[in-house]
Amino acid sequence: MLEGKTLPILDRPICQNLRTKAIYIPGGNLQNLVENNPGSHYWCNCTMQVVGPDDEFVSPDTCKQSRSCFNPIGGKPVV
Amino acid sequence: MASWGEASESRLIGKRIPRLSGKDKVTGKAKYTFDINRPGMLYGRILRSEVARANVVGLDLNDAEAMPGVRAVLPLIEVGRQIRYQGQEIAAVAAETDDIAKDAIRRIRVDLEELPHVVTEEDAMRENAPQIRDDWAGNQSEPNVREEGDINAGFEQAAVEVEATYHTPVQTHVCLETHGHVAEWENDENLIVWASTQGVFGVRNDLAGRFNLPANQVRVITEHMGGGFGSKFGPGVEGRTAVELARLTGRPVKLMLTRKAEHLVAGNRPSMTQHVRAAATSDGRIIAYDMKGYGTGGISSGAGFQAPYVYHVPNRRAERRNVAVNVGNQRAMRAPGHPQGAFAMDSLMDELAEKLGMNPLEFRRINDPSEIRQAQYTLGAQEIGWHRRNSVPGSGTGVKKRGMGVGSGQWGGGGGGGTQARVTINSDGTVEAVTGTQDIGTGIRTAIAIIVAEELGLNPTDIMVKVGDSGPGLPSGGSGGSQTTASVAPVIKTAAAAAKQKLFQRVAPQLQAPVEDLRVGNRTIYVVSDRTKTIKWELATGQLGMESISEGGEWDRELRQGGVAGTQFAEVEVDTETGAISVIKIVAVQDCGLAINRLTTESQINGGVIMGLGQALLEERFMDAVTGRMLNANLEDYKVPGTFEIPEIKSIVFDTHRKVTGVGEPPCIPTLGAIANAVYNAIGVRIRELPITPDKILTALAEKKA
Repeated sequence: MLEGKTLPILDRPICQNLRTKAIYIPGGNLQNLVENNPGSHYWCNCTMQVVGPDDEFVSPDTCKQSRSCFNPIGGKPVV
Repeated sequence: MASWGEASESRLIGKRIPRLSGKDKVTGKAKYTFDINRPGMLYGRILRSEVARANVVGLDLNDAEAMPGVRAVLPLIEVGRQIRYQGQEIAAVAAETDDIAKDAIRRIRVDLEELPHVVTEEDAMRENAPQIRDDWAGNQSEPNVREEGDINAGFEQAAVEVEATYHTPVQTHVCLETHGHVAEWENDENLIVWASTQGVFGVRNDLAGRFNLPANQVRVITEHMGGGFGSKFGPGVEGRTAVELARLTGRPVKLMLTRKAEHLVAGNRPSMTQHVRAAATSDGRIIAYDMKGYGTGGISSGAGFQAPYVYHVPNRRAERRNVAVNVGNQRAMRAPGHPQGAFAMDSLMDELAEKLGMNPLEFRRINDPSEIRQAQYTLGAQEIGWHRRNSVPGSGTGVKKRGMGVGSGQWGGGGGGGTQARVTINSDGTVEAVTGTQDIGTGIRTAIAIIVAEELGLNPTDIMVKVGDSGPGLPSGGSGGSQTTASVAPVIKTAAAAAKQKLFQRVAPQLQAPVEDLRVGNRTIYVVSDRTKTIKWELATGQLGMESISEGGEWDRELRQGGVAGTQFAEVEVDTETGAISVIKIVAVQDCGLAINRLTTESQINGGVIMGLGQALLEERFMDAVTGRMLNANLEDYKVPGTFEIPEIKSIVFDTHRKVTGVGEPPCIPTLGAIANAVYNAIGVRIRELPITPDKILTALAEKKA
């Protein structure tokens, strides 16, 4: 279970439109958008659906810089 | 070190206090998003696909746009894109009345090229099934495998083995207030949204991002909310659409989902199928566990479940897959993955115990590492009268047979930082507590009032609590993961304590005593070493003149704790002629930590039990394989528990420490296994597939007889 808030160290850029429930609740953090959790549901804040603007499925594994709709947080890798 | 003090010192905390919003709710004064009506407001409706899978080859909005009273029509899918499930959004309208909006969406012409679909897990996994996701071979995700110990060595030590398949179907959230929003642009740059949401700040941030607005120019309000159960994080397509329609028309737009849409697209609890082989030693220890399972979260991922669950299994392997089907996506639902896993594990526990010839409760005592549940087993068994249980399952006489069962659960709920709050004492003696959390029906509004009133020597009704509004700029997290109380309560307590301290500093000279000697109680500040020195609350606050005291708080982790255990016992009666199952009684012993409000904590437990009962006996989403449509997307055919199904519920607040934790989710977990095991104890036939319905009972009894 999620405990106290910890500052994540993200080793790669993440899309600012990728969403999952864990980032909304206290104690959640952006690390939940780095590692794919097979028990989690992911969606795109741009489409509000499970596919992105390019009609491909979204997830930490698939939302990468190679996608045309990829929009990293702050416009650059998050450190 | 911060603490909530001793129970004996608490005047309000831990007592049974009616919720502050109760009167407003029963009189209709409480305003939910559904009740919000703005001047000049339009009504939004969404045209949804009735087809499970198709390419969109044409979309004509002209006729709808030409209708009198229609103010905007908005495409929600592009020509050339694929529809992936029934209910997927095609286009939306905003009109002067809801009836015009309903007519208008019928005027939208969409041309579809239908594609082969699959809507059940079995069909999706069939050889030569239509491939509905390019990235999942055979419509299945890569397996998620977890392994500990040596299962082969474990099975070699086994005295008994059980091999079984357990299944739970898809359950939908059934929020009584459907998802929806009222969106209003105050000008081109400021947006105000009333949202039926579990997270006002999450919706604020998402809409700001989606519409390229500064977050502080979006205000989200959720004064009251009619159920979310994990499905109401983020605005969703319907929220985005309401905001877009409001922008296009320059008028407020209300867009609430229909009941049918709620079933189709607003989330669900994924299904679970487990094939388990497990073993125990002759002295009653589970020694090996091997599980292969799958579930579906619709077209998306997320069909995880707990396996094994709660009990200690030294040698284990669990392999899970997601199966894609052309059905609306899952969303988090009250204790995601736990009820399904608990049902399978508690059924398995009873099956292993029976093979060993052991009482299932004794078998649990041997294998359960939780000291708290060990104590709960004793308490719950006494309360239900476990000694009355059939020692031989199905051995009762008569047509109606009774039985008892037990189930277990666990959860986190320790909260997290990030909440900002202010407690303000005004010179007229009034007190306000403001924070950006939201009361999703669980009673945090009342809990906040209790904490502040306890700290300031007032009554909960004296405290004006303002939650569910991002406007004041005091953020708080979404209400999910049973995290709200443990996240909010410490901040409120420290804010109230800080405000009290400031007031003490103002009146200490008048009382001729050091601040440390001051106490407050019964609307009076007094000197603890000389109780003749007192000052009435209003007189003390009156010293503030035109000022107010307003203090923030901090999330002190010493005031909260995560990790709760729960146990439930069920007694059922099964009519062996009709198959009808009546739950007679549920005893729910729920580890709670410090219950700020014992009454609403009991209410949480009751609600969880009722939801668990629904999953055990009633709820199932039926999909038609041929048409790809949901057959019971309503509340007539999709049955949730009503007054006839709800039994006597004995909710026991098992408060073993004085730190706050969350109990929103855990009470719905053990119910399934407890009921399933009670049914077996009643009739001597095990039903391994939920919901346990009369037809399954009669079929199983007939098979046994044959």
